[in-house]
Amino acid sequence: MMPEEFDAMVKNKISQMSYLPGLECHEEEVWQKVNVKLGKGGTSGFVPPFLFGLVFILGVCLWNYWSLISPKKTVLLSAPSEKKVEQVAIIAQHEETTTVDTAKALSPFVQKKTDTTVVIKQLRREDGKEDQTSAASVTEHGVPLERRPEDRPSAYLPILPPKEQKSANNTFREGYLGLGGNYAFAGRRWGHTLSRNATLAYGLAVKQPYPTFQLPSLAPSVEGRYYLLSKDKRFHAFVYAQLNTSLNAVYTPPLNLQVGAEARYRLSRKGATSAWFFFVRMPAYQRTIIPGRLY
Amino acid sequence: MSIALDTEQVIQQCRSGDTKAQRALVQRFAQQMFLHCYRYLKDRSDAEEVLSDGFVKVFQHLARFEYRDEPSFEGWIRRIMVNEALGFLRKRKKVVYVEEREYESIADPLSIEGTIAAEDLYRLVLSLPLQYRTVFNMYAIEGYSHQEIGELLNVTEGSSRSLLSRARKMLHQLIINTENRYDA
Repeated sequence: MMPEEFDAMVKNKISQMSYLPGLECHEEEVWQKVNVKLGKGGTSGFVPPFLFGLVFILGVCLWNYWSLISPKKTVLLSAPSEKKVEQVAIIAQHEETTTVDTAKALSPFVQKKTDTTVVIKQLRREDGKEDQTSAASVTEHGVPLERRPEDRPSAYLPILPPKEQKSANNTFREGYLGLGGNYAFAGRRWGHTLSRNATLAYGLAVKQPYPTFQLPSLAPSVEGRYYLLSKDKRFHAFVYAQLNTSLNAVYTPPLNLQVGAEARYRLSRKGATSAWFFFVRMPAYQRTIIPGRLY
Repeated sequence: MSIALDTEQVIQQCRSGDTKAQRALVQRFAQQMFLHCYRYLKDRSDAEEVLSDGFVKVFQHLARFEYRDEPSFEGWIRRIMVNEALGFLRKRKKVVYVEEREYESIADPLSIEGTIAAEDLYRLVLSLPLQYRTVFNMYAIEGYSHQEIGELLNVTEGSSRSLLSRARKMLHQLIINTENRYDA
């Protein structure tokens, strides 16, 4: 047999094959991937919205920087006591978790806080230079804001409204509704604050494919977030890495790794009983991992 | 939508963005194309990833495809899949095709009976080293010329010939061993 004949023999035999036992293609999974990729317009169609999202987030970062950093000096100079209350409030939140009866425990401090505030105001009035009063100058006047830490909790705890006391621990929970390229979804997440910028959340969502009328699927997920814009602000954004799956997939449930960014705008007032957000989530990278099929 | 629908009709509906037609087309060709992708990648998840990317390309370029008959359409899809698989190999696997200096004759006669089953032959091709397998697949099965292989894999034509020759010899030996097992 000449080499050309050999090649032809191999080609004929292999070209005839459309099925090999043990190597079945999971057509449904492939179709779902194709559908998702087509929904985003494929690789090339994804780039413009991603760039738009990136520019949007950068714009928000700049806007946030500009609006916070520039006037910050004025705020600090004109109202040092208010700024400090915000900072101490965080400390108080941590302490609140160990307090059994918050209302009772706080009651003696309320008076102290009021006193301190009065002292500050009086001093500033005496100086007659409210716009130039700094934290240092307040301390010089004998108000124990920085040098006497034992007085700090008592001085600032009362400023916390009850609603903020409730959120003083390191956990949070959120419910959400949304529309994706191929799914409408509703879900609930529970989260833990790991640091000032990082959180870990896990949750369960119900996804309803559309426009097809397939059965809805349950999708548990775990995600880590890193905040680019502080979540205390009305406008905030974070990057996330999420691992999710679908519990009623036809075949072995594949794990889906998704990395992207989310921007949120808080619609409700700060400190409201429940916060409402409008959010846009922009996945930048997706990869399906099928456990146990690594041959 | 029935899968038995005429392929040309399905293609027309796909061009107008009909999701059901797209799904039917994927179901019609997925298994067959999966085997082609797997022949290059030898990894199921990679092959499915390439397959889905390939179908996305198929749908994106379908408007420009001039339909003649089903074999030509199948060949067009297959070419897209193979290109995707080669692109995947270049990006992800970072295969380095070592320049083979030694040029081996390809005119040596190869003595086999040709009784080997297609499934066994497919698995033997899979067992070739990646470089040999890639060149053999491209030349013997897909019909690329050595010049095209050289351009796609960034090797010289001589290296392509040499890799092909070695791949043939190795595969030939594997086939003989398998056929001997049949006889035994």
